[in-house]
Amino acid sequence: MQEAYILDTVRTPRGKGKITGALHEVKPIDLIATVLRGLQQRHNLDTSQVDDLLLGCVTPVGEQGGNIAKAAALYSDWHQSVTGVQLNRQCGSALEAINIGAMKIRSGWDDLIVAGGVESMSRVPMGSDGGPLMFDPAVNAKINYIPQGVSADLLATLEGYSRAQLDQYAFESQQRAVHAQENGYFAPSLIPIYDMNGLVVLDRDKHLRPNTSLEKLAKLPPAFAHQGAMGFDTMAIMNYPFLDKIEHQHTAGNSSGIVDGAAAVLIGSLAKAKELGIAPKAKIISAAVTSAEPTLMLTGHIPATIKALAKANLTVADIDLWEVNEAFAAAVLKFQQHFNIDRDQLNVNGGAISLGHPLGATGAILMANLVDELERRQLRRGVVTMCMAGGMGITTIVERL
Amino acid sequence: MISYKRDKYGIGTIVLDMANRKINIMNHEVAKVWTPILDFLEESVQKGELKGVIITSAKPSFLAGGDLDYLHQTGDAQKVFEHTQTLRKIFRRIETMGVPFVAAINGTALGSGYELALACHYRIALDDPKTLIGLPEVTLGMMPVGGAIARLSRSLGFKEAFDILSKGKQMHVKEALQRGLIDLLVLDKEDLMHKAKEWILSMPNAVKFWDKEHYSIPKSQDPSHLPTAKSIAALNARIVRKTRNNYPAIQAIFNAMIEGSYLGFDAATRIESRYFTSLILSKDCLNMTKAYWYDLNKIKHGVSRPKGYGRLKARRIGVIGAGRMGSGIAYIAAMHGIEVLLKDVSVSIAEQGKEMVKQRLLKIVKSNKMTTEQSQEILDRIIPTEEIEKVSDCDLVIETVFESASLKKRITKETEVHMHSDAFLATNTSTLGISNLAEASSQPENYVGLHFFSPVTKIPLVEVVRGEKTSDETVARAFDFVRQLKKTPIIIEDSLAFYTTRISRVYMLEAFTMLLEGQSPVSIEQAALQAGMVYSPLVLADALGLPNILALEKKVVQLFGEGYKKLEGVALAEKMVDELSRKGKSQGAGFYDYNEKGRRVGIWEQWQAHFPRNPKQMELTTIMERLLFVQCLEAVRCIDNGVIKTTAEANLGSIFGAGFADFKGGAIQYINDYGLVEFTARAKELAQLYSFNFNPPASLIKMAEQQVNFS
Repeated sequence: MQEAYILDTVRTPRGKGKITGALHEVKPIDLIATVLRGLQQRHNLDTSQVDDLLLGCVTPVGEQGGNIAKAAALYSDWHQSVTGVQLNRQCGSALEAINIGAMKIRSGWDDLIVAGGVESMSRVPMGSDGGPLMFDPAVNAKINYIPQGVSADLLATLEGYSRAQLDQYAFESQQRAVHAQENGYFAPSLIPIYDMNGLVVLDRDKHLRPNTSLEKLAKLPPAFAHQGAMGFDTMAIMNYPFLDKIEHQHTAGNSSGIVDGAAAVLIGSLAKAKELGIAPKAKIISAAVTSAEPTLMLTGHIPATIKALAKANLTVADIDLWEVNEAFAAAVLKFQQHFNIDRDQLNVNGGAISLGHPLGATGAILMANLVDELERRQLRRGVVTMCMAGGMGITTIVERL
Repeated sequence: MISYKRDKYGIGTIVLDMANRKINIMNHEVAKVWTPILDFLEESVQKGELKGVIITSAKPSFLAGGDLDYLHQTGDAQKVFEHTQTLRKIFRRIETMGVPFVAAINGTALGSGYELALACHYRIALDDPKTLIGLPEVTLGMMPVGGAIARLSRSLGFKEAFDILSKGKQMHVKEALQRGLIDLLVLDKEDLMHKAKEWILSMPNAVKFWDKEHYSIPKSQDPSHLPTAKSIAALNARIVRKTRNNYPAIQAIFNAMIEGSYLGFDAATRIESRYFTSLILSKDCLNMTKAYWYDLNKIKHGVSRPKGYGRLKARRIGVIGAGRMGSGIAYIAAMHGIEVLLKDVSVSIAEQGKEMVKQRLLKIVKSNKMTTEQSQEILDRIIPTEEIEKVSDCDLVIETVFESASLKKRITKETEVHMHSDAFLATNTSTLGISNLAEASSQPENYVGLHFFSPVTKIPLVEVVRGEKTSDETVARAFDFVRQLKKTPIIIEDSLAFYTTRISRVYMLEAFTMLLEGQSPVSIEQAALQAGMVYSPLVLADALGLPNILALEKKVVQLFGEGYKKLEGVALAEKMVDELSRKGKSQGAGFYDYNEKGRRVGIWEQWQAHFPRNPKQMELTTIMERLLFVQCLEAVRCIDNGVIKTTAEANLGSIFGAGFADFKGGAIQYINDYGLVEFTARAKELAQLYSFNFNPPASLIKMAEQQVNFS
C-alpha cells in the first residue's frame, strides 16, 4: 500500500467576516484562487499531475455554489484535466477533504491530490444554504436540534465550567496567537491576498485582539442567552432533564470568530513527491469520523479521536501536539479534560477563538498550523480534531518526517 | 478655485472656478481643494447652521472629467488607486453628510464631473442644447472611478446602468432627463438656483435610499436570486459576443457592477477602484486613450491644417446629387445649423433627398430626443432645387454624383461658373484622383476632395484630399467645414485610393492570399473579428463587390507602372469573378451565400470543391497577425510617401475608415504596442514565410534600430 504524504500546506490570512472586514471585498473564488496559484508557484507545479481538487465549503450557495472546486481550478489557470469536488462535512469540511485525499492516495487510485476549503462568511452568511436540521420544523423538533452556541452553553453547564475558566482559555488563545504572529510562526504557509493590480489587500490574520484582557473578556455579554430563551434551552433540557437551567456563558470572546479565508494541502504518494522533486513534510497515518449526541453536538471529536488513535495503534502519550478546533471554549476544555492533555501541547499558537473559523477552510488551516509547528519544534506526531454540527467529530493524525 | 458662501436660509453655494483653465476638472490635487471645504461643511452641519448645499460652476461648463495626463503618466498602481480612493471619499462625504446637496448643472458635465453631480441628492440642469451629460470613460478604455457604477446600478437597475456605462454616450440634457441621469430641467440660470434652493428647503433629510437603515438590495439586483442570476449570465454572454474579450473596460464595468451588488456601498466602490486601476495600467486603455484623446485632439486642434488662414464658418452650402450620400451630407450639415441647397437633375429627385432627411428626423422625434419644432427648423434649412445657378451664394459646394471621372468633370464645369470666387468646390469620391478631376476646373486651387464614408451619419471620418494644385487655403477651409460637421478630417495627398482604401485593399488581399493557401475562410473571418476588425475581410469584399476590387487593382497597376508587384491574392479575386461568377453581395453570390432577402447565410457551400482545404491550418494568432501586419505596413508606406502626414491621422484614419482595432490604437499605434523591434522582426519572418508584402520599409527598420517609437 502506498502511504499519503503532506507535501505542502498553504492558506490565506483571515479577515473579519463582516462587511467592514478586510476580505469582504474579495470573492470566495479569489480567496481560494490565491491559495491555488500560490501553491502552483511555490513548486512550479505541473497542475496536470493533480488528480483531483477537493474543497470543503459549508455554505455552498451563490458565490460559493455550483461546485466552487472545479470553478477555482479553471479560474486559477490549472490544467483542464484537474477535476474538482466541493464537499460539506460542516465545520470539518476541509479536514474531511484532506482525509478523503489521503484515502485516495492510500487506495493507490490517485497519486496527487489538493485538499482544502474556502469560506467567505462575510459574503455568504452562515445558514444561507438552509437545511432541514435547523430549518425544517418537523426534523428540528424531532431531534431537539439547537443552535450551536446553546449547545456550547449546555456543555459548559453539564461540565460545570465557569465563565472565568472559559474566558481564561480564550485569553490564552489570544496571547498565543499574538505571540505566534509576532514571531512569524504562521509565515511558512501564509500567502497574502493581493488585488488584481498587485496591491496588498491583506497579509496577516486580522481577527485577533492583542489588547484584550481577562477584564475585557469578562465584560462581554452572553451571546446565546437570547436564543436559549426563545425555547432552545427547553429543547436542550428535554434531553438533559436533570438540569435546572442552562448557564449562558459563551460570549463573542470565548467562541470562535466569524472570518473569511481559504486553505489547501498538497497530498501525494512518495513516488509522486520524488517525481515532482518536492520533499514531503509529514505522513498522514490515520483518520476517523464518528458522531455523538446531536443536541450536545460539540463532543464528537472525542470518540473520533479514540477511533483514529486505535487505528494508528497509538495512545494519547504518543501525540506531541494537538490542534483541537476552538469552536467554543467549552468544546476544547471538554476534550482536554477527557484525554488529560497538557495545555502546553494543546493549541499552542491559538485557534479559532483568537484567529477565526472560516467554516469550510478551518480544517486545512489547522493542518497547516500543525505541520508548521511540528517542524518548528522538531516534534513527531500531531492531531487535528474538530467537533461538527449534528454531533459529528473528525480526527486526523500525522507524523512529521 | 472654489468659492463658498451661505445665505440667510442656511443654504450654502459652492462655485467651481478653477484658475487659469477654461474648464473645471477633477485632477489629482482635488483633495487639497475639497477636503477643507468638506471639513468646514461637516462642522456647519454639526452646529446646525447648514440646511443644504448647491454646487455649480462659474465656467460655461459644469465640470469635466479627470486628468488623463496625470493618470497615464503615473504608471504606479498604488498612486492610481490612492487617487481613486480620494475621489471616492469626496463623493461619499457629500452623499452622506446628512444635508441635501443639489448639483446645479449649468453646462456640460462629463466623467468625474458628472460623478460629482451624481453624488449629490438632486440634479437640475439648464436646458441648453450644447450641454452634454455622460460617463464617456469607456470610450477611452476606462471606467468611472467615483462610485458611478454602484450608484447607477442601484438607482437604474443593471440593464439601463450598463447600457449607459458601457456605451459612454454623451447625451443632451433631454435624453439625460429621460434616462434618469438628471432630475429636472430649467430654462434659465436664475431658475436653476431658485429650483435648487426650493428643493433643499423641501428635503430636510436627504438620504440616498441605499444608505437608509433597512435597505436591502431588490431581487432584480440580487445575483443570488435565480432569475437575476440567469439574466446576468445571458447579459454577460451578449457582452462577450460584442467584445470578443477585446474590451476589458466593458467587462470590468459589468464585473464591478455585479460584484458590487453583493456588497455594501463602500466595498462595492472599492472594487470599482481596483478595476479602474487595472484598466489605467493596461495597454488597451493606453491605446484607446492615445487614439480617441491625444490623436483626436491633435487633429481637432489642426495639427495638419495649413497655418495662417482664418477659420471658415460655412452658413450655406450646396450639395449636388440628392442620393443616399448627398442627402446624408445635407442632413449632417443641417443638423449643425448650415443651410443646404440640395441640387439634383429635377426638383422631385431633390425632394426625395429631403424626404430621406425628414424620415431620419422623424425617428429622432419619436424617440423623444428632439421636439417637432426643432426637427422642422432643421428640415427647413434644406432647400431642394434643380437650378445650379442658385449655388452663387454658397460658401462651398460638394458634388456627390456617381464615381465617373467624365461625369464629375462635367458637373465641375457647370457648377464652377455660378460659384462666387471665395467659394470652393469639393468632390466626394473614394478612388478617383483629385488632380485628374481638377483638370476640368478653371480654378483648381479651389478644388478639393472630400471623401465621406458610408453611412455618412455614422462614420466620423472625412478624408480631405489635396490635389496637385489645391491651395493651402482651400485645404484649410475644407478642414474647417468638416470640423463644423463635428467630424474628423484627415488630410491626404492625392494618390492612389487615398489612405483608408489602401489599408482596406491590402487587408482583403491578404485574406485572399490565405484562401489560396487553402486556409479555412471561416477561420480567417473569425480571426479578423477576434483581432478587433470591425468588418471581417470576406464580408467586406462581398459588400464592396469583387469586380470593384479588381477595378481598383487595375488603377494600382497603372499608377505603379513598372514598380507594381502583383499580390498573390489578386488571382483569387480574378478566379471568383471570371471563372466562378461569384461577384459579391449585390449578385447574391460571393464568398458567402445569400438568401432571397440578400442576407448572408454562410460561406459558399461549394467553397471546398474549388479551394481544397490545406490539411495544415495556421494558428489563429498567425492569421490575425497577417491580417493586421499588412495594414500597419501599408500605413507606414503611406506616411513614407507623404500620402498622410501624421501618425495621429494614420491611426484614426485606420480606425474610422478601415475598421482597424481601436483597442490597439490604430494601425501605427499597433506597431508601438507590439514594440518596434519585435514588429520589424516578425514582419521579416512573415515576409519569408508568406509574402514580400510583409517586408518592413527601410524607415521602420531604421526606427527599430534607433529604438524610437512613432509619436
